[in-house]
Amino acid sequence: MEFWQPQSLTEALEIREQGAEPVAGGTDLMVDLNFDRRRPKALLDLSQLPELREWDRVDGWLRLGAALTYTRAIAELGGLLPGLVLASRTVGSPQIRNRGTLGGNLATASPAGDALPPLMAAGAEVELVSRRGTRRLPLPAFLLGPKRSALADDELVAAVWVPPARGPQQFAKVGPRNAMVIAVCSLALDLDPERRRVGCAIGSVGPTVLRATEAERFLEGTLEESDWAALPAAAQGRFGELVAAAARPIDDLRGSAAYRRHALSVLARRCLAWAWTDGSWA
Amino acid sequence: MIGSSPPRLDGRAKVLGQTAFASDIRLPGMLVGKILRSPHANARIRRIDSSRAEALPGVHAVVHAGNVHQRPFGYGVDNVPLKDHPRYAGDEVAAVAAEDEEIAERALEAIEVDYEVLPAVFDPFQALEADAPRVHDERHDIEGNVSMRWDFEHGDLGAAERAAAVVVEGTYSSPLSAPASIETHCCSAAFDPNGDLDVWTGVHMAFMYRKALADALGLDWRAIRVHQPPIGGSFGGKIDIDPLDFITVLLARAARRPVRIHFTREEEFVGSRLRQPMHIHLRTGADAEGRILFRDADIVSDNGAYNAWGSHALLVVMQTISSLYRLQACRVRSRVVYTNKPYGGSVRGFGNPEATFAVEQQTDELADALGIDPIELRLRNANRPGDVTPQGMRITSCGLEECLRQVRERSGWERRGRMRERHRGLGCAAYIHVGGGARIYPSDGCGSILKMDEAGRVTLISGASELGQGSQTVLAMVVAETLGVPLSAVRVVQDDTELKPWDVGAHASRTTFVAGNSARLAALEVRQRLLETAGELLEADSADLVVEDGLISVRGSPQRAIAYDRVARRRLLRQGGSTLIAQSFYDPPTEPQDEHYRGNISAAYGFGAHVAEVEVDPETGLVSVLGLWCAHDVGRALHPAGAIGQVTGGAVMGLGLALTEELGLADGHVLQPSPREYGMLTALGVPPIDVSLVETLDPEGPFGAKGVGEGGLIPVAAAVANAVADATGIRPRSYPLAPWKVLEWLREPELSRVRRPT
Repeated sequence: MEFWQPQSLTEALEIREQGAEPVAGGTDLMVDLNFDRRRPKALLDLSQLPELREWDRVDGWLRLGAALTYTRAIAELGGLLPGLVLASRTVGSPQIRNRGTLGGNLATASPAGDALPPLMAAGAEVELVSRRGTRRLPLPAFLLGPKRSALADDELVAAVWVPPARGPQQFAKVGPRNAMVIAVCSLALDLDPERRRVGCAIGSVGPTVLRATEAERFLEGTLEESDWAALPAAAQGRFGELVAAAARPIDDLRGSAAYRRHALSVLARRCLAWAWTDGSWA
Repeated sequence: MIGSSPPRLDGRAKVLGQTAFASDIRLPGMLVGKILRSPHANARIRRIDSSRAEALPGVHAVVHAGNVHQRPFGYGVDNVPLKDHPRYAGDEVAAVAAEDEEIAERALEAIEVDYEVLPAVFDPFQALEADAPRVHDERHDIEGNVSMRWDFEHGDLGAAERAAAVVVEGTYSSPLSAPASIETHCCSAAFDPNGDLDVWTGVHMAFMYRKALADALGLDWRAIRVHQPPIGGSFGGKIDIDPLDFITVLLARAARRPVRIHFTREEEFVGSRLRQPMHIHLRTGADAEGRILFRDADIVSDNGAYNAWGSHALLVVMQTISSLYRLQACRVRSRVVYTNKPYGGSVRGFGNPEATFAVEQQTDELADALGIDPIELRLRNANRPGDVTPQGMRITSCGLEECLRQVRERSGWERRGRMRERHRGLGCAAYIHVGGGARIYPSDGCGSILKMDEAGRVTLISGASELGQGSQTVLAMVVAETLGVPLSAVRVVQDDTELKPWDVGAHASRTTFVAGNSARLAALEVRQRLLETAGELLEADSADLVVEDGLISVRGSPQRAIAYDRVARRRLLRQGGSTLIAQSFYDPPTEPQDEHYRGNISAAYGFGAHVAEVEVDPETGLVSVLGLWCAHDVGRALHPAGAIGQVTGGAVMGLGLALTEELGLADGHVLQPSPREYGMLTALGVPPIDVSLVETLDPEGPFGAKGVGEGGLIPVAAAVANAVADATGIRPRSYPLAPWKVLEWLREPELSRVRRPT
């Protein structure tokens, strides 16, 4: 197996064009190699590319380099993207958070990718780059199926663009142990009170991370009508039901489809209540 | 020395990463071995063609059932190293030895196997049905898939039942789980030019291993030397001889080169011995005062494809059912059932966590039915010194009552039953376990050789095996204490059958007790000879001498003193001198069980009690353990930090079993052969654990000590289940307490309702 370690993005894209498999933290790829599920002819190490490691504010968005690790996201993005930070804290162990990157989570496109629900709830877009040029795709258009994405064979994930939080963000997941757990189901919620916009995305309950659009519209409607200070209990319950209805879960070892739907509705109600009582914006 | 907690002798090297484990061993010309495993749960091999694999450059040997001589092995003598009829998905079919890992992998792929796939059975209750596929159709000595029965009766069950004011009944199930030690199995084998075989492996029953190796492969056991490098965790997973060991030797013989097989993490789950699931149907009755009158059990052990050690775990299950608490009558019926699945070994606790989960939940069910506090009910029924249990176990030292009082006091037990609105609860469970050996073999003994050289260095050559439990340190302390020399002068050699005297092995929490007594006897003899010579030199009667911190002096005249190492030199370095050396063999005063399972198999019994506090999320079913209080009767804590460490480590393993650990199978295939998915707890999942050591000074144990290697694990799942019952009113009938299961119970309380006869 060939191993390439380019020092610039230009060089990396040339190698990528030859069909080399990108690797950053390796937290997904190395598992596949160990299990002999894949035998790439060449590996392209992205860890030495300064272009991918940084984050910045551009045109009112946050542009997060694909090689940004969870550890750095936790340390640096607390005030800007609280939902992503909450989710990053639940990824693996400290060692994995030191290695694992947002770009890797995106490129793997697992329905259980912990960073994906908060990014989708916040309306993130993925920046893809190749020698042909650069394009930006909204996250739902990027995630095509279980471990399938719109990433072309000659492209790299360069960055993810996210609007900074304009209100409360929450993330929660259900898993049977506190650390190193793959979510049974997860949920991210993003409220923009000023614009009456709601983002809600769910993980581990379908072929990709999904948006609960009906639940979002319902809650936006409720926000229009109701007094901001009080959240009707019935609305909470309805929100939970609509989120559960958006799920397309399966039965597996980590829980039955019915359990996942149920747990998701619980997470939805709880996240909503937490977001609501997060008084900083009300 | 005894009762203090010096640093472990092997601690510094392990912390610094300098310990050489089995997988660090490299021999000149060593090849890499790899095993080909059956993809089918039950199949006959029609044809196997290894010619393409053999032809690959760098391949030195390919072995399979068609080209080796092998005989059946194992407790059931129902297994062979390489199969022409694999009986579970993962069973060993062929193996290769090659220059490196990559060539070995390619060679495995080049072996062509033509399987005739046969119907398989995975559910033990289906396996009991008349028309079920037979896992061992070649065994005409058994009926269907029932390979063993363990049946016991004591007292008048009918009379006891008629006298009962309350009877509780239920079935309690445990999952397939894995010892999941950090170090995966590794075996290296090399023949020397004379045909002598050296094996390096993580086994901790080295002498039985040597015999089994010779028997199955037709080798002369006198020509086998077993090396035991430090073990990176076993928890019983490395106790048995496994196909791995035979296959390594077969490859080394065929290749005429040293061979090493080192399991991958995935193989560790698929190819090593596991804790087999058990289904325990139990009825327990008590009178109105809460005296337990009888137990009646019907047990199905889902043993898997072969009878390794796991098939004997019923011995321990029976012991807890018959002997934890006083009883009038008892009946146990157990069936060990073959299924086409990975098979059971001897995992820490060996049937006891499973049995305690059933017995101790029923203690709480009785208490609830009678309106008696569960700890009070346990105290009323607790074993006491002088008791003889229905199986003839003679209880000598027994701190069960003290353990129960300790955890009651330390846990804030008065909060029990008052936290349900907060979904919190407290639960208690106790245990009994062998603590002074377990006579499952004609000898339960351990030999020691103790030598003091002219420098004053003391070497204990012990039969005992070190598997991380700290035996090296404790045995050195026993020697230092007995001789009166500093610990820094003592070394322990215990890793080589060439040198060490016989020992049955590290199992059944026996090492401190049996090897400790053995070391003490040898040290007493060396001490006596040392004092003889010192008496000559000091012109005093040796009976008047005292030894303290290496200085031998005349009682009452401290100025008449001599350093112990000078005495050793004076004894050796003179005309007619002699080596200061002694040997001992300690075999506990016990008896094997008779055909009715009666007999005092252990010279002491360990007891303990745990209280767990849980919080149950009623909406998601998630169970969080908030605290665990543990009290253990260890006889005497020779090294308190080590004893607390053993209990704590056991408790963490028990919490994993209680909450998350289950090896899932689909059509017999292990679904998640990785630690992440299997779900052992990490440090973040461990609540505060409070350990109290209760010292009862056992009359037979070394300095009063009893075994505690397994105790910390045993009552955890039961205590957690009882706490969940306190928090929610539901009665868990199986573990792990996965959130989706708990939620189902919360919604359908009928599933866990206590049934009572009218």
